[in-house]
Amino acid sequence: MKTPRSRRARQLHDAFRSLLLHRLRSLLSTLGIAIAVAAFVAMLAVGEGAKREILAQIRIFGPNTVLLRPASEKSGLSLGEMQALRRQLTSIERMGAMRDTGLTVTGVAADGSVPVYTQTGDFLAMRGVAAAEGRLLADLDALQRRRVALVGSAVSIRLGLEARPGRTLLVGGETYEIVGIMAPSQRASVSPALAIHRNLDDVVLIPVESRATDPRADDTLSVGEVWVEIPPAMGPIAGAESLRSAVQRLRPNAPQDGIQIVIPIEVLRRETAIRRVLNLVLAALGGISLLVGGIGVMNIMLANVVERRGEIGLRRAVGAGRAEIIGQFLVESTLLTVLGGGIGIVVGVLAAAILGVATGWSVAVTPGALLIALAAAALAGIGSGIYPARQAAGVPPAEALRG
Amino acid sequence: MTAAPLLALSQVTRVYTMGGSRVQALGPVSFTIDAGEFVAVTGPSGSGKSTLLNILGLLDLPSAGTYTIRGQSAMGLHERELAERRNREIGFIFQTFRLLPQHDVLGNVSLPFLYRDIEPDEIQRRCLEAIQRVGLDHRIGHRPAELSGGEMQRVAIARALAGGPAMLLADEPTGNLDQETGRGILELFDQLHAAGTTIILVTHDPAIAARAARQLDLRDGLLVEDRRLA
Ligand SMILES: Nc1ncnc2c1ncn2[C@@H]1O[C@H](COP(=O)(O)OP(=O)(O)OP(=O)(O)O)[C@@H](O)[C@H]1O
Ligand SMILES: [Mg+2]
Repeated sequence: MKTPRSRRARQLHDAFRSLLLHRLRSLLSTLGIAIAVAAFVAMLAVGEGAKREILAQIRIFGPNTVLLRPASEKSGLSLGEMQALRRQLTSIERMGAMRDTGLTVTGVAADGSVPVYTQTGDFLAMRGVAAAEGRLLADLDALQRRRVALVGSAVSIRLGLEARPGRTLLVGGETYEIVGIMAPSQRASVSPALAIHRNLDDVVLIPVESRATDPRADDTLSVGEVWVEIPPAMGPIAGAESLRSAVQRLRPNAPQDGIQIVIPIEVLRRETAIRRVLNLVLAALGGISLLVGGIGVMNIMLANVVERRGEIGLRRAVGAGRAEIIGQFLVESTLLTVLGGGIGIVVGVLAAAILGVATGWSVAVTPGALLIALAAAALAGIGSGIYPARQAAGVPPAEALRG
Repeated sequence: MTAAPLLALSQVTRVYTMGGSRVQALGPVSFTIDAGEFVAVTGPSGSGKSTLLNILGLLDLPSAGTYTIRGQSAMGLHERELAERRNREIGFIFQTFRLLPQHDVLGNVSLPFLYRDIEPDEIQRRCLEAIQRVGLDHRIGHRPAELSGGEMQRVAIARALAGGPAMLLADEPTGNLDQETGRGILELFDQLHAAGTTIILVTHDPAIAARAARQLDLRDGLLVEDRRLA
């Protein structure tokens, strides 16, 4: 081993040697810290994962979106009702809907396997759909009840030349002209409780208005699940309330539970709440372990001070001042806990990964979390070393050398 | 000789207070020691030999009186300054060697440099030289547990020498060694003395004391005899 250049580096190396003398003891004494750090790392990973999931969901739904979800196929809002709702609630920013028609594209090689969905209102804008080729469905298409279709990116790949803009597709015996192809959607894991429809990449979208040539039939056209964007100032909860009463005014005689009002952000909050409980448990475990681990390290260090009294005397004799003895024991205890912290990080990352696989939650370990965990370990080392170190330095040198 | 002595004690006492009782372990004693002297401190158990040596080595301060090294008073020095002086001026050798099991021979010998700012090359050079002087070049990488008692004491002497001290202070350095091995250590002291090293050696063995050029004899903390041979 090459002699380190600076005095501090030599002292660090010296402290390291002292710990290596009793490897097993050192390792065992730092177990509590390792458990604490592992718990912290797992906790932060679960917390960060939940945060990222929420952010991903917000990217899909927006934080102020409320869903009107039909309890059954027949109980959904009709196009007429949706338009009435829109007229009533003037403060609503955007409103759109999408529904699985149960129909498939016919007359193509992949006959019967491409689902057709209807959409209306601001749906495309709310989902952030962009056109890769051609154009999106427009308000004018709805107004003029044009038979036009927008093809999902995956569908476009599957159908190839059969699904180019300008070509036609058969839907329910009617001819639809392809006006555009959607850009691939950003895939984000969607909470199962929110169970939104199939990914838009895999479907063909048509205006719901194209399903009826006569506007008087609009009251029979089901629009499916309606997405409503509440003004941020009102907030999704108040928005959901006014939607509920608006729907009730619209259908005074229908059973209330025909339409479920879902606030995605609230569903996510409920879902992540269980993780918060787990995180609290982990935090408590981490905190208690840190305390117990710190006491364990302090105990070992106190035993060290007694056992190494002669060594302390010798070091004083060859030129160590009080500060250097304090420094030595602080460095030793901190090295111990940082070692424990390192072990804890490995265990914590593994535990988080296993937890993620077992529960399906997304977990995320960030460098910041590791830094926090290591800092906690180092602080525990300093905290548990300070008293033993002062004890060690408090013995007068001549005294330490007696016996 | 007009040069100032290496060290000078004037009316030095050391009083221990334990609970209510006072024990005057040393003094008052006054004497000087010149650079290059080989002094044996003798006296029965409890006569204050170790107490005196601790004061000479700046591990302890007199309760009264003054102690100066190279004309500089040790009185009123801050703990930090005392440590620094011990590091530079004093080389201790103990009866029980006091080697650190976590370090090999080189690590033990370089211990004083843990507390001094110095270039690594210089550490290496000084330690190797000290190890050579005690004749242990072939055991540099060995741990204390792998050494004999005599070898351990040689390592301790190398550690005391490496820092380049003004004096070696040895408290019963052969007390834990058999006669044969002890003689080897004493011969090493003779060589070091011949090369100019100042040595102050505590012993209660008259035969060992007889090797020194000067004997300080303590009884009940008082200097009863200061005898120079030849
Ligand atoms: N820290 C202390 N507190 C109280 N009394 C002490 C202390 N250190 C030494 N003494 C007392 O001072 C006296 C001198 O002790 P010292 O250790 O100097 O004797 P010594 O000559 O070295 O003896 P030995 O040959 O047994 O080593 C003894 O009576 C001892 O009990
Ligand atoms: Mg003694």
